[in-house]
Amino acid sequence: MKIWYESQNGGNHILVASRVRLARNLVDYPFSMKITPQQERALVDEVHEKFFEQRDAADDYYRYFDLENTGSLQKNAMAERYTITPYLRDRKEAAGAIVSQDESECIMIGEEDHLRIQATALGDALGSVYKTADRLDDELSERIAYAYNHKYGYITSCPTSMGTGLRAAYVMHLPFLEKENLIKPLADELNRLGFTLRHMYGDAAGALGSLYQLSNQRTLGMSEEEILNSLKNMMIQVTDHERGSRERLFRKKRPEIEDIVYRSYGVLTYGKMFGAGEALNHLSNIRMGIDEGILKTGQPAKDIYALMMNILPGTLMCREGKNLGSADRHLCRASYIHQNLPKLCES
Amino acid sequence: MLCSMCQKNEAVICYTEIVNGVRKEQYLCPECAAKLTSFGSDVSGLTPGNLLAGLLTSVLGQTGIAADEDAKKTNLVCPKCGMTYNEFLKYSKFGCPECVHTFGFLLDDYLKKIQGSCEHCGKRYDGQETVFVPDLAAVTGQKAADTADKMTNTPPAAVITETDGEAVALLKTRLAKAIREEEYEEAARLRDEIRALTAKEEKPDENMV
Repeated sequence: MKIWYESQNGGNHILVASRVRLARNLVDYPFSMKITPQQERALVDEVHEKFFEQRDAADDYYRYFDLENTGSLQKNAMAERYTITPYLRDRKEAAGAIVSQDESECIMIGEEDHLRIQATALGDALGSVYKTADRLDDELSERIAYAYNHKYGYITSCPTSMGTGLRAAYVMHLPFLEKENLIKPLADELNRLGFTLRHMYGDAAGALGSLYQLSNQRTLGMSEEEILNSLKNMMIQVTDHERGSRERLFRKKRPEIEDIVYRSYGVLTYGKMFGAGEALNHLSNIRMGIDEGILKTGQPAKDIYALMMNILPGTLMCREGKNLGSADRHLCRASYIHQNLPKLCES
Repeated sequence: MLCSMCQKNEAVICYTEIVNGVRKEQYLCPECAAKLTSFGSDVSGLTPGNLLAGLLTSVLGQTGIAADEDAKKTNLVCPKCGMTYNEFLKYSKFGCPECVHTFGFLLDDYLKKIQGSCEHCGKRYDGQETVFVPDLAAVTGQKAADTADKMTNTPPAAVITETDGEAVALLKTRLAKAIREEEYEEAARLRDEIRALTAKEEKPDENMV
């Protein structure tokens, strides 16, 4: 089955995807700092058992991964496309994940909080992904005793997520704000307003693929609806900033921008070996080129975001079914891109 | 103007400190300012976790220098998971759900600071309340009327009633004072003492998880 980002058409716009995570804890177990390996095992087994006990055995929509016995290839692949968190991947003690076939839904067990219930979808779908997570939460809460206090709401390991336990995020593609060096000032301003903007891939030196995520910081004293609405308002403002930045640069440097887009298309069409960072950056240019109508594809192009995810090292090796050295990986990545890059129509 | 600390160099920085609500201004040269604030000397240890822990420490008015001494006399420990008051300060994380009860005295101020609020107004859990927190207002006698309905659900840390023996009444007075003066460790100790004394008279409180 296709993964969520392959199955719909996101349209290559500035807004890429929507995601929510709910933090929940069981009242009978200590949190990650104090839990013993035995308790951790019991926690994972209890949640696993209770989630599946009333499901039809033939229904294979949800799969269970016992992460202690899951290969690092699979774990890395799931972590790099944000199906599970790096924290869960690296956990030495027992940990588990209940994952829907398209990976749009995931219940992480044994994260920093006992449960992280996550739902994701392409495009502006914060309301519907929240509904999905909320439904999973309701289902679990019928069978599991949560830690809850009337005043403080859902009790979490860290006071920064107490209350609703809701962390919502938008994935955004911001190549022009990045070119104008406006990410840092924007992130500072958002931080003052209680939101976080940070890159998804890359390191301190910079973002890869110009992909960023915008998420809420506050979880207490606001209802879920208020949190989602305020984040959506922020997303609209960030989108407007990116659009303003695009208009400015297009007015001044349209030929240069077109050159960058076509060069990236040329490199990816004819190159034989790509590192993940290089490929992400070229794909980012192409994604922007399609969104801005510079590149004309025969049929409506699928979201390039899917291609960006599928050439990440873990996902690539997982598809090949084996560990690859870096040269083999680069070859393999180039051939995957050649097969999947949308064809241009003659203009 | 000369630096008010060394009285040698030209003062270029106005350093404002607010201690216990008293505002104090000093005019300093860069060297003295650096010594006083440690700005620029210890950037490497500045991770988000540290920042939060630092924030928590500052909310509670405890300085790094005093922390070592306090560690020796701290007796506030979560009975369920063994998390100490100092660990909670250091990591800004709870060890278990019961910690919310143990460190409940400190929570409101801290949550207001980091979240802007300390009252949940989102989704309600269908099951019952599973984590109980002693009601501060009931102890200090403030807003007692407002919280009357809560008191039926939440066991208050201490309210002096006519049936209390002399010893308990005295302890409760000291508890109220300790909380007013933000002596949280002492308050927790007193709370446990009161609980132990009253438990002998009444049936054990099963609500305490």
